[in-house]
Order: sequence, then C-alpha cells, then structure tokens
Amino acid sequence: MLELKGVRKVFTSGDGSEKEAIRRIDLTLSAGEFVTVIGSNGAGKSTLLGAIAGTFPVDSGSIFLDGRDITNWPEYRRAALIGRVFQNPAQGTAASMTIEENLAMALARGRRRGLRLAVGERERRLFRERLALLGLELENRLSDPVGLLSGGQRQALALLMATIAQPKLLLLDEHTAALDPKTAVKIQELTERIVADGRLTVLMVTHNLAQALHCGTRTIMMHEGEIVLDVKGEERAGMTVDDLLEAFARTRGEQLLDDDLLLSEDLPLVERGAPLA
Amino acid sequence: MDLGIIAGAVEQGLVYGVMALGVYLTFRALNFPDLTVDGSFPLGGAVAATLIVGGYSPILATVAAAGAGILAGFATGLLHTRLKISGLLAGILSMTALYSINLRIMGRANVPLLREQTVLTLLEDLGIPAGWAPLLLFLLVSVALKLGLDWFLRTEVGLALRATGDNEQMIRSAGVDTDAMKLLGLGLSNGLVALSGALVAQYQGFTDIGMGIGMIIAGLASVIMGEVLIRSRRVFWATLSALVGSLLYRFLVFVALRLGFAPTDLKLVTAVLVVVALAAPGFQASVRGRIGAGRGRMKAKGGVVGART
Repeated sequence: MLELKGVRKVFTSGDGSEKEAIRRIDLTLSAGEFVTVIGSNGAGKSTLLGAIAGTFPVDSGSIFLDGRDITNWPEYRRAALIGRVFQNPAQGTAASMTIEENLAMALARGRRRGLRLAVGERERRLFRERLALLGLELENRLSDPVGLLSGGQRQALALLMATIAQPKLLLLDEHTAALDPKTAVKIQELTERIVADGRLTVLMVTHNLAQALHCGTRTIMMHEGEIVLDVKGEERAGMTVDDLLEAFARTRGEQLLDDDLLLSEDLPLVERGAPLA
Repeated sequence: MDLGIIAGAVEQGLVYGVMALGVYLTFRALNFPDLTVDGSFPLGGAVAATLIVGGYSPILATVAAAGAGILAGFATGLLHTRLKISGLLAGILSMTALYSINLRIMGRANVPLLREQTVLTLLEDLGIPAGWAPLLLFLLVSVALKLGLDWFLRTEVGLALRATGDNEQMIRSAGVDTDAMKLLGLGLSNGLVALSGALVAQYQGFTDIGMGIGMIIAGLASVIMGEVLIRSRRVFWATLSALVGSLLYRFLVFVALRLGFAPTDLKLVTAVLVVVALAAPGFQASVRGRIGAGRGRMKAKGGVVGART
C-alpha cells in the first residue's frame, strides 16, 4: 500500500546549519496495517508524516502509495489518497465555516470540485448519520460554525473529515496530545472504531508508549531520523513498555534516560511493567 | 437635503457597491489584502471608455472591462503564488504597473463620454426616464451580482475558496490547490472592481486616470462599516453588508461635502473613517469575537491547544 525507499529530508535553519530530520528511511505498509510510531522529540516522527503527506519535498528517495509514485506530487494532489489529522484541532477544520460545510469539503476529497451547491439534502443525511456515530450530538448542529465547538468536538470532526471519503492512508500526528485526558481517551476510541469500520491503513504518531502497543497492529520506534525498532505479531503482543525501553536502549547501544522518551507532559500515567497486550 | 442628493448617494452607493463586493471577496472571504483595486478600477473605466469611443457597444465594452479586471487579478495572483511575492507587495506592483497600462489604453489622462452611447443611454432608449435609469440599472446589477456571489460561495469551488482564506493547511489536506483558489478569487474580485469602474465611468460621463486613487480604502471603509451594521458572518448577510456599507459610505461622503469639506479632502476623511472604525474598542471586540471564534476560544480553555507545536 505504502512504500518508502531511502527517504531523506534535511532542514536548513535560519543560520545556515543543517539538520538531517530523517535519513534513508525504508518502510513498507501493507493494506489494513495500523502502525504506531514512537520516538523522542526530534526523532523525525512528524517529518516522516510530513514527507508522506507532501508538506515539503524530500531530498532523496521515493514514495509509493497504492501503486503510484507520489514522490513529486504536491500536497493537495496526494490529499486525494491521504487523510490527515493534526495535533492541533484548529488545524484540521475551518473555524468560520459551518460543520456541514467542513464535511462537504472533506467529502469532495479526491474528486474534481465543480459549481454544484456543496451541501444538499443528500449530503445532510449522510453527515447526520456519520456525526451521530461520534456520540457528541453534533448531528443537530450542522449549520453551526465550527469555531463554536470545543477542542475535542473539533478533533472528532477533523477525524471524521479525514476518513469520510475513504482515504487509502490515514495519517494521525499525535492527534490526541493537545486534548484533556478524558477527551483524548474518547477520541482514541473513536479513532479505533472508525479505522476498524473502514479497514483503513494507518500511520499514527504518539507520545504514549502504552497506547502505541495497545492499539494498532505494528509499532515502529524512531531515533535520530532512523527507524530503530519495528515489531508486529506475536513479538509485539507480548511486549510491555519496559520491553520497548530496553529494546530501544539495546538498539542504540546506549542507556536511555526515562524522561527523554517517557515523561513528556502528556504522559504522566504510564504504568511501568504492566502487560499491555 | 433634497431628494436629488439622496438619490445620487444611493446610485453611487450601489454602483460602488459592486466594487465593495470585490473587496469583500479578497479581504474577507479569501483573507488576502489585495491593493490591485486602485489600478483595476480605472482599468475598467479605461477599457470601457476606449471601446465606447471606438464605436463598440457599451454592453460589450462593459463586459470587456470586467474581463480586463480578471486578468489584472490573475497578474497579482501569479506574482504572489508563482514568484512568492507577498500579497500586499504583489498588489502594489500590479497597481503601479496598471497606471501606465491604463494611460496606454486611454492614450491621454481623461476620456470624456458625453454624447456617447452608454449602458445608461441604452436604457433611456428603451423608454426608461433618464432620471431613473442609473438607479434601476445599478440596483439590478448590484443585487444580481450579490446573489450570484452568494451562490458561488456555496458551491464546492466556493467553499474551497473560503476555506483557503480560513485555513490553508486544512483545505490543502482535503485536496485543494490553494494557489489556484487565490488566482480564482483575485480574478473574480478584480473583475467585479473593473466592472464597477466601467459603470462609474459611464455614469459620470468620463474616465480619468486618477479615478482609482484611494479606491481600496473606500472599498474597505464600505466593507467595515457594513460589518458594524450587520453582524452576521454568514455569506448572505456578509455580501449584503458590503452593499449596505457602500451605501452608508457614499451617504457620509455627501454629508461631508455638505459640511463644507472640499472634494479633495474626501480621501483624508475616508482614511480617518477607516482608522476610527478599526480603532473603536467595540468594533475591535466584535472582530476578535468573530475571527478568533475558533482559535482564541480554545486558547482560553486552559491553553491546552497549541501548547505543543
């Protein structure tokens, strides 16, 4: 489904210094795989997602999606195949426009947009039906501007927008990290349900190691722009957060400081050593 | 103040209202501060007047003027999207270049249209009294364009255009080429502005190279004053508020003239009007409340959103 071959991205900062954000990444996802991505800050997780979504061009390597070479496609063209949810709920929705207008724009993903009224009765029926599944009672607020919604409601809407047109690939970039813990859990449940219902192929970045093992079918760990761990199947099923940390330390041949990976503020509650499968 | 003066203000409010619709489209819907207007407005006048004097039908001349305005908008859009020149500077560059272009089109600084066929004399030929022709025509044109714009902004393409002004990242990741939307928006906007210029030239009986100076501020004044009167940001009300704002602005101009200001003082009066409107505390709060409805609101809720980037 998705294949990255030797993908590399270097960012140049204002003073001319260069940082290799991801180096020679090889990664293949088959259809229906749900991959969680972990790693410390600056490991290249978000760069990896940006490279796939086309937010910036890569410096070398190639990217294939659904059998097509999308390496040189601009972001908006790739969006026909890729749904994306950002960390900040404000980024995934248009605040001044109504819920139904936001959904209509998402529904047109991958289609040619024309001079047809975007929201008709048929669309409204579909939107009501899908919004009802979120359990947030948004189905009765179709003509409310999205700016009136809470962060959690907006993120749920963004999630629905990313998936309503059945994308080939769903990218989730720490999409629960900016929410309060209760809302984060709710959005995570929604995510898993929507992914299961649509049998989507997913790449999800998270800071939460427990969550990384608990959901999805495969976990990769990044460090300094490289994939240093890639587990799935039985090996992954038996893993604990401690195993992850050990594996990381072993691969890098260095002792990992807990706070480097663990104690980011959105994750105070990982139960060390608890089995997570 | 007699009825004739009020009728004059209404006529002007409607005909310049077409320009205000264009300014609304860029400044508000597309969130692009487009200064091309000062050049595309007289461009419309220049193209229409030159064609009319050359013997072409006034209707054709007016449509051609709108077309020329669309091209001017594209020019600004290309400077911005292809050459990555900032929006403000791109507009200023176009506006400056258009000054020379307009002079080339006109051949001199002023082209009179007295005793020429215009869209207004065409109406009179149909039997409409000369005194009513401008009011009728401008009312029809401005309302039709307002409703057309309302419809367009609710189509699939229209939504994509508005989203480009609201949240570029969001609409790009829904598969829209935001550069194309900016080109489209700038083209349509300047088409409306040039159409307004063409109508104004035929209404006042001449076109002048200087008739675009300060036009963007007049348009902005109309849009802002309309927003003070009509609070709703829904498309139907927002475009209506641009027209109502234009009427109010032209009425205030008449009042200012009656108070003894010289016509040459009007640009200063307009600029002060815009500054006052922008600085008024009540207005600022209302603008923040609307524009910041999404982002500001969530920040207020404990600063969770946006804490990590």
